[in-house]
Amino acid sequence: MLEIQNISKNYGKKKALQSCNLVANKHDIIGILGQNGCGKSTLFKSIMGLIEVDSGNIHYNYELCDFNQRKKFGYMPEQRSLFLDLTLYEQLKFLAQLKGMISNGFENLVDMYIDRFDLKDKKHTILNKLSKGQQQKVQLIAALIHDPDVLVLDEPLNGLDFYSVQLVMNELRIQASKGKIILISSHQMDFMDELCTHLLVLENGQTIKNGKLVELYQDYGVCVSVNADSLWHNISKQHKNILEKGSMIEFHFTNLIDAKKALGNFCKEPTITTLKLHNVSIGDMLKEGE
Amino acid sequence: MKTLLQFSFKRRFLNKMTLFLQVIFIIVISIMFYFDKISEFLNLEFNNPIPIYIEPSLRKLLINEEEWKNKGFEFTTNKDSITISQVKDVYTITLVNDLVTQTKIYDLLLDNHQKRKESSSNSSVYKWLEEYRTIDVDFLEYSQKENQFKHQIIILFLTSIYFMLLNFIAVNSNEIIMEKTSHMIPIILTHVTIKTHFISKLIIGFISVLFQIISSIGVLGLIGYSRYQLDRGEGLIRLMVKLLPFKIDSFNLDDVFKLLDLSINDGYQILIGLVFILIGIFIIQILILILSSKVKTMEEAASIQGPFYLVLLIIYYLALSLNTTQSLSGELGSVLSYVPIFSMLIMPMRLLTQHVMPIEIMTSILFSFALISLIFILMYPLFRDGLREEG
Repeated sequence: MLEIQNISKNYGKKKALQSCNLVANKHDIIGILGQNGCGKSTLFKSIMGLIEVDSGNIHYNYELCDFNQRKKFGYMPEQRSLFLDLTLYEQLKFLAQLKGMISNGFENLVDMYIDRFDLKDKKHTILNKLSKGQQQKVQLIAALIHDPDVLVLDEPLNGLDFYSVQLVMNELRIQASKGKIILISSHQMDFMDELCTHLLVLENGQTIKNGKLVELYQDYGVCVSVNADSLWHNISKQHKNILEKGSMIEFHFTNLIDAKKALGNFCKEPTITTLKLHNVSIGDMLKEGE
Repeated sequence: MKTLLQFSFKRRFLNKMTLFLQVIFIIVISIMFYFDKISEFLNLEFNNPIPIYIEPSLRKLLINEEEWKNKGFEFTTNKDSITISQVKDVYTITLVNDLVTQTKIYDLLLDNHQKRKESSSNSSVYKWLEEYRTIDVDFLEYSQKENQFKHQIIILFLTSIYFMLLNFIAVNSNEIIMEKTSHMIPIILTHVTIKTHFISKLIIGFISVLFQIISSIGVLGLIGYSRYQLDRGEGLIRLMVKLLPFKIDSFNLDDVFKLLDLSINDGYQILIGLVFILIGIFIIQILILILSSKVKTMEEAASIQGPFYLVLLIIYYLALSLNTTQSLSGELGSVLSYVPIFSMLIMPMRLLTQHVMPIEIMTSILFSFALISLIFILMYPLFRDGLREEG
């Protein structure tokens, strides 16, 4: 279990993080969200011991987090952090050697990960020759290669195409299923919806939302989406919370019972060809919070 | 730490550019040692003897003809070459443009003149004159019979190493800056502690310097030995005597070694001198490393190294200006030989010119280590915070 207790960090007068709390258990995928400069990276660096917090504690498995504890953490910073003149294999080997795990099935792990991330033919390619998305995947492999218990990933989906995002999300789900704790930040809300089990939302260093995603969904009600070219105008008169989202219209309901009733009515409307009952998206949750 | 050391070493020395420069170094040293053969092969002009015409009346009086030939002159009857004539007691020399040849001709004429006078005069008069001019004094306690040639060669050796190592003071700093600008520092610091990272940089810096010394001396030694085996460097030394204003009577490397007269004691002095240079470079490396942790851009990095190069140049010129027995045993010379960083050249020079007590050497080394400890205690937090800023 990773437990963050009341940590605060100031950069001069700027309060980067204020009394932040978080509890993460095995199998949790925690999305750390917020606008640019809200304190996400500061939180990650604090967890990794790269900056000293002004107050508060970080515990891992009920012990105060020190360098040895953090050896079980894998970290992927936001910026591109690679020796670009090395090959993919050399970079991973260097980091694995630093962790002291080079003889411990390293070769098999490298082959497994580069296969999973679709980089098999790039094993001996100089990193400079890889695309940004491929470099991003190498960085993620570098964070995974020593089989850490906790993964701290700062914007791992940046610069990835849709196919690569799916690869990364699948991998993270596999890692979570193995009992690992994953902390991830991203601005790609749609993917966070699909991936996260928990959310921590920061604003100017302050925590504004924190909890299990299912519980947060309850707070924000339920949505029903229908195709936009339906005769929704008549139906919509009865509703206040309507959002137009491309080819779909989204109706927000405060509870599931109302949503089910509306669903029944929509079923009778012949022009409605697409009908979906779903939770409020994380993006909309954040918008509502503003 | 072992991984960091191996990684840095590999990046520093096993890359295409370093290997290419090493090949260039070997080629340059080979050209240096085989310059006479190469110039002979290319039939370069300066390889040929310098034709010289000496008036028959004067030539009859030459009793050191062999020495003229050894210095690269060839007697000719062609008056279009350099000509030497004598009217009364004045020698007239024409067609000599360069100072080195002028000096050589002057020395040879003077030598001939003195030998003639010596042989034509009453030997007892000369003996009396010698006795009149000099007195024999033996300073038993402090005197060290000076061998100027040896002294100069050792100073040349030590200062060459000093300048060679200057290149390496910035290597650690560049590596830190590279790690910072490539954002690898946060990654590395999640794998090793800041202290391990710091110490590994110091160790690899020191190993690099040692490696550079050993490899350079190795290359010089091997190529020099091959030349010695070929012809004992005969042609090369002759060419040097011919082209350079050396006042030595050596014609091969054996003669040069005889002239150097290196003893075990000289070996110790060179070794201690090297130790002082290494300690000085080590201190500067630590200082630059710590300052580099505060650097954020490549432009800032260049401005850090500038002042250090200036200080090292000042030390070099200071050491050269103090390079006499009197100056080095004076107040300034003595004090500076104890001051860390300055001691890296001043102490080796003191060792070469005077008897330095072992306690003085130990005290100077102790001062340097005291400074290193002080830097560790006072400045390590700066390094730590510098890296964490980046993190």
